[in-house]
Amino acid sequence: MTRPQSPHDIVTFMKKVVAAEARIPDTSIDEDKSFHQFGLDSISSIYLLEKVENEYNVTISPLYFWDYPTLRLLASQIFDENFRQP
Amino acid sequence: MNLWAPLDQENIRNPFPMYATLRREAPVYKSQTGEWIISRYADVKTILKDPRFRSGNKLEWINRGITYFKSKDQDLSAIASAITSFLLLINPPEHTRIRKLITSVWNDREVDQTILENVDSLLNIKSEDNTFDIVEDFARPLPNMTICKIMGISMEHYQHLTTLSNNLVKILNLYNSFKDLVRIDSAARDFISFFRELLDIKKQRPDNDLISKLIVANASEREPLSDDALISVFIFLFIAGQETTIGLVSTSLLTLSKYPSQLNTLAGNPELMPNAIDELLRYDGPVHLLGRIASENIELGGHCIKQNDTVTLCLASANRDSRHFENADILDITRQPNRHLAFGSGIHFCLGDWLAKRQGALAIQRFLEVYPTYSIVDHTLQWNDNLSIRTLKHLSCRV
Ligand code: HEM
Repeated sequence: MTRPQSPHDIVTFMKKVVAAEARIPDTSIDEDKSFHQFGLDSISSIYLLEKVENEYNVTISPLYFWDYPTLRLLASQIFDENFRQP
Repeated sequence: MNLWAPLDQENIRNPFPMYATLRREAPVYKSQTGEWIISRYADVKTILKDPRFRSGNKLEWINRGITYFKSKDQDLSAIASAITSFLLLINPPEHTRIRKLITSVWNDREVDQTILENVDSLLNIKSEDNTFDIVEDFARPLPNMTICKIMGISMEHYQHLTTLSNNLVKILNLYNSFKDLVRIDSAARDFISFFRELLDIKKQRPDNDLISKLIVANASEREPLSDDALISVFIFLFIAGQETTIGLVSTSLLTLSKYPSQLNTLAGNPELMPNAIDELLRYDGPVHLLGRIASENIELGGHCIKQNDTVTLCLASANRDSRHFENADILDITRQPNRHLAFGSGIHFCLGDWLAKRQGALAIQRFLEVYPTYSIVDHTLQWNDNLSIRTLKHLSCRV
């Protein structure tokens, strides 16, 4: 379990997961593109969210994948909800 | 802004404002997930009656999910095998065949005795401080005890099966996490092995219960169902009336407590009960959402629903549609006619509606007799995080 210092840390972690899923290098992943554009769907989303949940010991609503449909938006939401200092 | 936020805590507590906005502003709404959200009475009913909208998007989805997760070394295959013959997920001609098989043997509607015995045994347990949790102490055990009796399952198993049932029914949720799927799979596995054992016993020594009758009737079919399919039918008959009846009994007692004068009328005039049950089902029935999948491109309300698009039908919203019901947001236990959609419509219309209504009526009637002055003490009500079947976690009352 790790504690992210910023949303960027979460983006970096998710990039690795998405890259492995989409079989592309993580450097080529644009965090403002929608998950759809990488070929992620309602099934692989479950896998992605599970990985993030386990990495940071958080719980993520399954709908967040659609409500925050890019790496940047999702990472910010997860960070704000769980790790932002008041 | 997304008009569709079914997991939002505010909407979990009270989804009716979200439904009202959808009905008013976007009755055929393409949500962020790609599915269409249908919220008006006329549209929901039309789709339920239209064979081009098929059931079973869940089955397809889970089969794709199983393949996917196999590549991650996670086996979820028990889920598929448990739900493969769930009536509400399958289509004609298979659906017609299995539905006929069940209705051909499920003709014994003399359940009052069983229900009343169960109700009374539960209402007799009262805590020292005169509080009573309507969900845990009453609504939750009741349907389970009754269906065990109907199906010929010994009561010693009922605790275990309640837990399994709670977990497996989550497969009908719209959105599940990975941890949910793992729990669902484990419940599916246990259910299958339980019913496989029971199947073998009842095959040897058929009795006068629903499972035995299904086994016997199936054996004389021209093309009998496989054991696996039969087991899936049993599982569905077992769970279909659990969470739903829990919701009917507990949510209704909550609703009635908010309408004291109607509650009084009802307590004094039990003959109003059947009508009241229908109104309580309309006002806040337990099944809020159903899914269908479009088998071809279909025009609806100026939108083109594409082949393979998923549609989510908001029954609970349709039941509050003022285009169809006068004073739709107000409970009226004398409302007539009351063609609510709480049990669906069309070929998948609830097969247990009579049992649900009878059990609901007897449970509420006896409850009001035994605890005529009950008052709800839960001020912040906790609802389960699931709008598909909407139920309270607890409902404490003083009796
Ligand atoms: C208040 C309680 C209940 C409610 C609100 C309810 C609601 C529903 C609804 C809305 C459907 C239609 C699903 C669809 O169209 O996709 C359905 C189907 C079904 N229900 Fe119920 N139900 C209740 C209790 C029960 C009980 C007690 C049983 C008995 C075992 C039962 C057995 C079934 C079965 C077998 C189906 C599938 C029918 C088919 O697909 O042909 N239900 N129910």
